[in-house]
Amino acid sequence: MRTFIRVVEVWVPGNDRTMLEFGAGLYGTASRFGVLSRQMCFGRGEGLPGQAWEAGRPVVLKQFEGSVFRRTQAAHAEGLTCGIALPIFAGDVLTSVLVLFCGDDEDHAGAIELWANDPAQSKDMLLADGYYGTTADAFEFISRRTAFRKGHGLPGLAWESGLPVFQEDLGKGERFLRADSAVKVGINRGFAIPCATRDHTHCVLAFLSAMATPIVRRFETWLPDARSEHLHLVGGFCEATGTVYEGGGNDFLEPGQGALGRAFLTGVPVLSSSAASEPGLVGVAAGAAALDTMVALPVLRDGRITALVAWYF
Amino acid sequence: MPINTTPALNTKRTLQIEDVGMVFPTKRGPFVALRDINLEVQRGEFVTLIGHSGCGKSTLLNLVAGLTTPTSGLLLLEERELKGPGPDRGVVFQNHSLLPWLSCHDNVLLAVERVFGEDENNQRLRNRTVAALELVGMGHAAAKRPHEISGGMKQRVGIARALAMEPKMLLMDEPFGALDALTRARLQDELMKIVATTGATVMMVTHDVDEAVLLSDRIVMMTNGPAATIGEVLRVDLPRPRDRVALAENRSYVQYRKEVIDFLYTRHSHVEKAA
Amino acid sequence: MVSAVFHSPRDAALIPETKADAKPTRTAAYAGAAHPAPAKLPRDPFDWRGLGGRVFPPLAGMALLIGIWGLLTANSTTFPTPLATFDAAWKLFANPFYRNGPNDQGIGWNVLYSLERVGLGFGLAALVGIPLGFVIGRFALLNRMVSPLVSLLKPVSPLAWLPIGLLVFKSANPAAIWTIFICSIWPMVINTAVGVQKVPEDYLNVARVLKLSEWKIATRILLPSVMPYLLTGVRLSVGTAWLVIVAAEMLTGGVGIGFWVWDEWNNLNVAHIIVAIFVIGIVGLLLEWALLAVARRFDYS
Repeated sequence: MRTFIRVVEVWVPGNDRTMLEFGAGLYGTASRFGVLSRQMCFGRGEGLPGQAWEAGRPVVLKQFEGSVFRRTQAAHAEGLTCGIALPIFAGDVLTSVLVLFCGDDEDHAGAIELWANDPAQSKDMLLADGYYGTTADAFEFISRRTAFRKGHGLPGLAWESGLPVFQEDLGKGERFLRADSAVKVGINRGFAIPCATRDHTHCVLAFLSAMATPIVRRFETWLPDARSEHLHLVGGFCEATGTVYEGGGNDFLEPGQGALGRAFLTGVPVLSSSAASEPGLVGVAAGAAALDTMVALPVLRDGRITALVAWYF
Repeated sequence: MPINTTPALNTKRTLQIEDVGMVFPTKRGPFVALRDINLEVQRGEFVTLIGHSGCGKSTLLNLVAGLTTPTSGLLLLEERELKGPGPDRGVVFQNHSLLPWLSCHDNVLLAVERVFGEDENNQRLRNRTVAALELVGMGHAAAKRPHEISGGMKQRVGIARALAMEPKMLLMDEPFGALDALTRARLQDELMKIVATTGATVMMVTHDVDEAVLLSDRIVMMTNGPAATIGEVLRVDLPRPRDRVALAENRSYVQYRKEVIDFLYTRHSHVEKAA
Repeated sequence: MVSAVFHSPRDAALIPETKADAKPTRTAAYAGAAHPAPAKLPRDPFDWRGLGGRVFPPLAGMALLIGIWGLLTANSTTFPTPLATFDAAWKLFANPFYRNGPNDQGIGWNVLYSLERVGLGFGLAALVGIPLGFVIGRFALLNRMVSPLVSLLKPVSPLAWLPIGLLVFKSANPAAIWTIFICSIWPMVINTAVGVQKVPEDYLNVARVLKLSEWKIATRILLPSVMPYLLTGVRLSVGTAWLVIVAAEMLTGGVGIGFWVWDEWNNLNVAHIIVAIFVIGIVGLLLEWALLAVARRFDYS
């Protein structure tokens, strides 16, 4: 099963903090793209990671040609059609930039939306940018004209809670059927994460995908307890096994333990290509579902880590 | 004399609703009807409030009309705080509320007199009244009493009465709810024409999805009560004038409709309380 | 041009709008004929059967009554027969407006005197009761103050008030008027108050949106809206008032139809008493009908 997100990269500021250097990457089948990327580095404003750094908020890149993107040919060669860069801030300091590449084609459909609210302007969360790929225009048409309030709609829920939100069934199936029958079912899964921004606007990145192309194979939400001593699994969803339920009282991770623990400690996303060998629950679940790559992504608010999201591919 | 809406100050924001909440004291304790309502309406906009029964949309309209005072928050009409009802917000009720002992002409004249009586002579007041009735196509029935005309005609007179005051905003609470489908359709078309002519700023409450999409510039979708709030706001970008027959096949119209229905029936289906 | 934009009234007739009450809708002609002339219907033949149905039963009832009366009194020495009563009536109505002295006047005068007292008492009751009703209907505090009092005094027979009237006014005429006043006022107050409270919220909302002054609300909205209730109150009062005046006059004497009844009893003129009964009944009926006609004029539905 191919996932909508095909490539995950982590870029970190270099020692002198003038350039973003390659930190880690999961390339799946796009190995040549990986080879190229490892050799690159970006200044502020350069390339996709640099753009996000400069903008201080997530950037969605839909059109590689004629943009700041520097790996256009390689991306096309691997069937990557959209890039998203999420800058991760601890307060005003950039800790890293997470870059995702998605690929959809006739058989696989998905959409990525960046929603933003400027509290100084209004109480509406509006579509700042979106990648709709091969999905029907109708979805984009409505999204561009919709404003969500806090707590409503997928982006609104992430905005209100400050935590990742997953919706197994968006109930929007019919809208996204294309004219021909290439796409078998419409968009049904939604996943939204709140993103920190430098300018204190509220941003939510929403991933929507069709059943044939899940966003990720499994995702989990982990929360630190009140004294930030342990990380607890609170829920999630797995394509293979369905809803993931809360972990038991003894199933927790310590700071620094495994990919999630390290992400918690450093505030930098951690990638692992052998998920099954992760400690605790993580490894067990990954092994059971035959998932080998994972991303541990910290969600920050006001400089503090409020949650960690684990994506498995 | 043509009917205008009062030329506003140099502001494009006719109405601002800021953090408004409404709590009613009842025998069983305080009832939170509305919370955290924030909305701006621009001059000349047609905004619809839609939601299930009991979602507080009529309460919100009453707050804008000034018939109720909010327990928290602020309402501003052209940058000035609302203090009670007044002829600057013309209200069209669902029950036309025409006074049965007055003719249609006198019903409208009552409003005209109230607003312009001090400054204008009787002839001018009568001219205004006649113009308002002609605007809604009721000029020929001006002398009739409400019990002599049909429901649709009564509602038209209600609209004439509201517009004759040249209000800053027109507020309509399910104005066509009590009418049959054909009359409702015709009045919707006429309302669009009147609004286009007068440039009125309108806020309307409805629970009819098609009516909302056909008439509005923006649809404000409210969640279920109690403690109802605004969930989603949809901007309807259909070009005007809008023809209902042509729109029935318009893809965008269908999408808009589906989004509102999704909101109402998929995401916020109304749960009937056990009696 | 504003008028060019809308449907002309003619177009409005193309699709007939049904009205609240069922009246036959005019089938619209095609565009061009604005108001089609109604077709001439053949004249209905005179409805003899309907007329018979309405007139015959009451006449039959009356005849039955008179028949029974005649049978019962055929051999009586004290009670007059229908024929004797009719004879007496004939004589009385031959000259209803004679004056032989303060205690001996025509039946017409007596009826008029009674009506005058009713009119005065009634008028005073309206003058006091209707505004009072308005005020307690509109202001809840006053309602709570006055209502218990009204409820307490309402069931008291007006005749119990008569001695107080005599005591205070020291004369029969004002006392009788006072009694009429006290018996008529309660329905007026109560009905007016109820009418004010029952004014539909919508009309009051209209008043609020228009920001009408309290006076304008009272005159343009409350008064017309309350009128039907008010008139019901008046109609109820009139029946009682007419009843009470006869009794009051019997007790106080002087002039009036009630006094006349008592006087004829003293003269053992039973036929005259029976005539008086019919006269009182007829006048009472006429009063009802008159007020009913007024009420119908103010009915807006």
